[in-house]
Amino acid sequence: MFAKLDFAHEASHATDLFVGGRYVARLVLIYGFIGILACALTSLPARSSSEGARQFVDTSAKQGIQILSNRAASDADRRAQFATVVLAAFDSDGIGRLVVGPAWATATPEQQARFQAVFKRALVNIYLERFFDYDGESLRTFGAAPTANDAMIVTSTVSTPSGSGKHNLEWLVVRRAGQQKILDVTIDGVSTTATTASDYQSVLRATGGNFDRLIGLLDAKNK
Amino acid sequence: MRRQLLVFSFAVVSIAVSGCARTQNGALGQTEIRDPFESANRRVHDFNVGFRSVIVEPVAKLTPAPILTSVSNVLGNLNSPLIFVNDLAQGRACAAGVTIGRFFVNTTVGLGGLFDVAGTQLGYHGHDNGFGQTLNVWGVVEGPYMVVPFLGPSNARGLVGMTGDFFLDPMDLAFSKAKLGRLNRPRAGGEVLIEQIEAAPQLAKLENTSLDGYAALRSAQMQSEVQARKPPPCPVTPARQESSRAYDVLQINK
Repeated sequence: MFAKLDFAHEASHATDLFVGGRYVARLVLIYGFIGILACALTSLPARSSSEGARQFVDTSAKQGIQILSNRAASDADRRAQFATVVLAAFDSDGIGRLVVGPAWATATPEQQARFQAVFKRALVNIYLERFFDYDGESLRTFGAAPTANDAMIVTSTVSTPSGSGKHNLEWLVVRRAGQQKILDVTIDGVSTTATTASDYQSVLRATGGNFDRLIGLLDAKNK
Repeated sequence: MRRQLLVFSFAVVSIAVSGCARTQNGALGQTEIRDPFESANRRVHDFNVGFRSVIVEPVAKLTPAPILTSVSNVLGNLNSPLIFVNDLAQGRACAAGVTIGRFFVNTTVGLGGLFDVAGTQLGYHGHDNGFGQTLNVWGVVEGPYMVVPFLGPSNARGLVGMTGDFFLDPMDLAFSKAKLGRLNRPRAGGEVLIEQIEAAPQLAKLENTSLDGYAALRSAQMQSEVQARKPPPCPVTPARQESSRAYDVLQINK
């Protein structure tokens, strides 16, 4: 079929093409088929990546929330298990850089490393508080949409065990070294990362950009 | 009192118009609020934190949950006409229909609003609304960030909205006409207390996980104002309850 696609031959018989309806119909069919195939092949990775992002969020979120819902386990155990899930699923280094804003560029590598170490614990605490009263069974993920900068936004809803509170969650998923990671969770329109950024950057402004002071305050808060 | 509020409202509008615009920045598209009254706002915020721990939380702890729910239901029901007017002003006919339907069902079958029959039995959940939200939908700029004693975070537009609510609340006017105006103040006080009781757990969580609770709440408030501009689905589900208050959108254990 493809051997018949001789463009020179087709050009020399342009009149025949327009006159012979059957020939035109065949060409339309062939080019249409090629077009559809190309379209399907190019959209396949996008569709598979959005489904992959949805599944990633669905699995990670259910795992994390179910750990917190397990009232049979001790608080310490739940906290430790939840921390493992959060640190595996979230891009804590990326979030850490975002929340300090421009101050990151002026911090020394040693300060950056110390900050990331204390921030990991703060991140776990933040999401522990946010998700503590959710019912893992009620989590529903609906799909993912790509953003302008190659990230994915996964939409979901979750309820409290009584069913009285239902919340809309949007998960910002990015790729880091070939792996999917969560960069932010927006709860009913309020971004957790943006709120944390306002918080930490306010501290940096108040202390004249003192990075060590920020690390110290964060470390004290974690205890 | 009304004249004072009117003067105050005009003063607030003047400040709002004096160029306190919002600027867009941040990797996640977060916006930075200009907060020219930050030091005064922080003092009011500290007062509100104290009010919460000394009055609000003990009252919430000592009052049985069914009583709190009933009081919240009655006050919410009395607020329905004001919500209805603002639904209409925002062109939200479906939401207005739900509001007025809830009002009739809860006033009659729900025994004067004691029971939220429309929400719990029929699935028509309530939503919040007010003149501040109407101004938000109409595109009025928010003006400078302001923290109001007892009430919490707001902005110049929100304060003007509160003044509008004060003058235009149909239930207030009806009470006054029926020579029951003396009930308006206790009702307003009850609304503030119930609102704070419902918000307290979320505010505490935000405080627990932030270094600067004031800045974190300000950011959440600003984001929720942006969110509140989006048209919500109708009938309104609990997940989509509109509100101009940050702690409402941070409800995670209600």
